[in-house]
Amino acid sequence: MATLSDMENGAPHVSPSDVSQPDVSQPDGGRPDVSHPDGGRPVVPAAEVPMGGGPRAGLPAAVPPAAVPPAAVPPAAVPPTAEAARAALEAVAESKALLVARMRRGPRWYNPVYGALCGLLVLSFGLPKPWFVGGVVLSAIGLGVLAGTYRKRTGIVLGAGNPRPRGIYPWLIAVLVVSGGASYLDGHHGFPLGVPLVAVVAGVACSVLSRRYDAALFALLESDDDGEARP
Amino acid sequence: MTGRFDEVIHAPQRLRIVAMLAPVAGLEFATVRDALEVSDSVLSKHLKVLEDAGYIKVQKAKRSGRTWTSASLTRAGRTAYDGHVAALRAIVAGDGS
Repeated sequence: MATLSDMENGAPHVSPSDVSQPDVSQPDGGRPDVSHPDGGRPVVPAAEVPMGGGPRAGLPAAVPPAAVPPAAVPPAAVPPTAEAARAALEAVAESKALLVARMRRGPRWYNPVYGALCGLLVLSFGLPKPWFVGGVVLSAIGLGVLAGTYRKRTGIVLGAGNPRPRGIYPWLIAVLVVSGGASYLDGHHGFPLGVPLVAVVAGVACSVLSRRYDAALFALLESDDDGEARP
Repeated sequence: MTGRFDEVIHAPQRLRIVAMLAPVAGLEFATVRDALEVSDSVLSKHLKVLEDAGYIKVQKAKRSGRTWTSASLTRAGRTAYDGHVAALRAIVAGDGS
């Protein structure tokens, strides 16, 4: 026999043999409900009835799953008033200003050192193999130490995941690929003096691009625009 | 960008956290804590909520005998943040809800 509330919830009545322990979650300690027409046998609330466990002996035919109420549904988000939205946008702008202040704390020598390490990388492409490997390893370690120092000073993690401003990256990659290729050709095909020249040019270009990257990022963060525009 | 109001992000401290994480690859825990002027435990709770929502990724690294914690925005978090800011702008402009 199912109670009315059970019928409404789509939950079948459970026989006493299925409920051996009193329901301690109830304020009355799970005492039988003597006012109940079926003798006050304890009834498992609908939420506690196992779902999808298959039919149980002695129970009515399976209740359609659609009749079971869904689990707790989160309340719909209530949009704020215009004033609250304006305050939230101001908080966003303040946070970005704090970030810019942090970035400006970065070491002044960051960009020149970054350029020098890029120059070393380009230089190594024009050198014989043992020197090539040494140059690549040294520049990679140097870039790692540089990023670590920047992180320690500013709390900002540098990495490939840094999403903005992306407009600088293609230029940086182009400089490294073209100068690296030129360095290789110079070093391995008869113009060794061209290798340091190309390396210096590449180093200066990377330093300038790194500085421009900072400027573009600061401008983006200080502007009202919040991420859709890419300098 | 289509605005989509996000209740997880809209909580004041969480909005500031996500706004700071959006333009960078990641931030140190201490940097965010100092910027927000909150305790470690309060920040941890907010980061947990954002992490559970799949909006940020918290990473821990051992260096010099200390554990350094950093947080970064995921792609889903960036999308949610951009949409939320667009929704806020639409509300301020009076043409959104």
